[in-house]
Amino acid sequence: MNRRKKTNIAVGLLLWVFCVAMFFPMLFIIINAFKTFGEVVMDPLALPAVWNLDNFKEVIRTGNYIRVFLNTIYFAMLSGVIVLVFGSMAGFKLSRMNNKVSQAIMLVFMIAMMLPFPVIMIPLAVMATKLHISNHLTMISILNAGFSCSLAVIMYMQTVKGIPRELDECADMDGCSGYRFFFTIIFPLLKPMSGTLAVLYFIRYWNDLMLPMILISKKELYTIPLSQLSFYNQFTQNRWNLLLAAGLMALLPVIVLYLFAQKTIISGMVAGAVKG
Amino acid sequence: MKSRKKLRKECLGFIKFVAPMLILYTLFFLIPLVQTIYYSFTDYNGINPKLGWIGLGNYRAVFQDKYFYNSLLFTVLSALLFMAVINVAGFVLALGLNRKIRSRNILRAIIFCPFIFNNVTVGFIWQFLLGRLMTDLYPLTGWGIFKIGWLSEERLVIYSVVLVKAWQAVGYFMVIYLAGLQMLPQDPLEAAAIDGCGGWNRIFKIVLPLMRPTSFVCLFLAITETLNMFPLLMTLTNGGPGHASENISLYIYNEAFKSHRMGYASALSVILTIVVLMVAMVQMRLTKEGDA
Repeated sequence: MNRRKKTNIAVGLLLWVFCVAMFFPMLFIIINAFKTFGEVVMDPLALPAVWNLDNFKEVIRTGNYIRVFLNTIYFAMLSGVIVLVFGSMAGFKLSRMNNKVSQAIMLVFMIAMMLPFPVIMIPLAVMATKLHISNHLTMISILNAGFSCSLAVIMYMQTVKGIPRELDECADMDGCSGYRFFFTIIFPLLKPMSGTLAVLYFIRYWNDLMLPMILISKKELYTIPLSQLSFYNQFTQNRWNLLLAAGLMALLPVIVLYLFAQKTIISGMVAGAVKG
Repeated sequence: MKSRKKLRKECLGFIKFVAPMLILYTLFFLIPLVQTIYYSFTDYNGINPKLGWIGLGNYRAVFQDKYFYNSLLFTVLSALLFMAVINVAGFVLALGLNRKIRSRNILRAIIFCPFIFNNVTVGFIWQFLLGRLMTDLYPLTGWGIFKIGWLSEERLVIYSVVLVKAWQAVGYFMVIYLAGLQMLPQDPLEAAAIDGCGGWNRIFKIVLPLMRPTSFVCLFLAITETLNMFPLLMTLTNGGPGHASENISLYIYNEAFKSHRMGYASALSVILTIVVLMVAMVQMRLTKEGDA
């Protein structure tokens, strides 16, 4: 028993060493995000002479960051809401049907989980230009929800299986059916799954670069990853202090979310991997 | 009469509940997928609205394109390398964390954290570290490892890319393995303990075979992750130096939106789709066999 305890302590120590090594890079990033450009060029290893927020201020000013931030939130939230509402409806019905048709439809939904984005990227860009929906955040969010809904539909299907059918029949006899039944009785029961999916989809959309990159060309509509990229391309002499500050600002909301919903995020991502 | 009424009700329910999502999915995934196939037979360049039908011309060109083979080779090699690194590292970390360690939850949370970072930031961070910081570390330490241009040498760039991707995703694979370890049936493990089978023997002869389903998931997940890593490539190396770190997804993007050869890029996409679906079919086969 004693030997086991000793091994546990040794393993724990090793893991901590690994953790620190893994986070060492982040340390340099944080240090350099607070330095002036001159300091970064002179010596990237040294601590900043003064810990000032100038880089962050400049990113906010030149990158129009508040607007960009709001754009990203709007894009991520709207896409997420569409996926959750329509996806839960579809998942519910498909799970209840439980026949050849619903199984076939589920398989069709699963195709999108396997294929990488470039496979549909070209027609999406062409379609968006033809329908005049590029540079239109609301339409882009709808489009985004359309091709990324698979995970939600499949996860909701699994969850609805655990809700007894008798509930549907009882409510039907009491004259409560259709949308009213779904949104007053079933949807609240799906809340835990909705919470998990909301967080997962928010992170995914928040970090998404490709779709905004092919559909958004107006600077006022940039999302965060897109503005980071344009920041990078804008400076021929790489202004690392600004780029790293912008990077930290992009990470911050996700890290805050992670602090609060760490368990949900991890278990949700594991479930998504195992089912997909 | 009754069954017809029931059928009608069923159809109505289907339209009310499934149709909204299915319509969006069809419009923005299924139709584009079919359109990709159609474009691949044309000389579409994204500007001229008149499509010229050129049959298999694009496909013939693909198989003579040395950059296609280059990107294919990079994709396959990086996928294999990533698969090996991430699965070994993820499994070992999971074994460690599966022990009764006091700070287990914090460790798990920290190691997983980079996985939720956005690819653009991760790319910039590592471009700074490998491209900029290392040049300053060399005169300080004199270690040869810092003298090497990790991102600028064609020979080495694949290792750097896989390393960065592994840094980002190791926590993800770790938690999947951890979940697998925690779902293992306890009986064989206890029986092994009674029979005096411990340490490495226990891991290699009992735990690993029992983990087969989880390993399958992780192996194929590694392929998907490498195919999807092109935003990272774009910010880390942008395919460079030259075309040395251009994977197939990035090549498709460059052909379509930089060279405006959309028809040609569509042909590449179709080939990629076929390959991915074939891999997925192999996976399904193997998982089914594993279950039986």
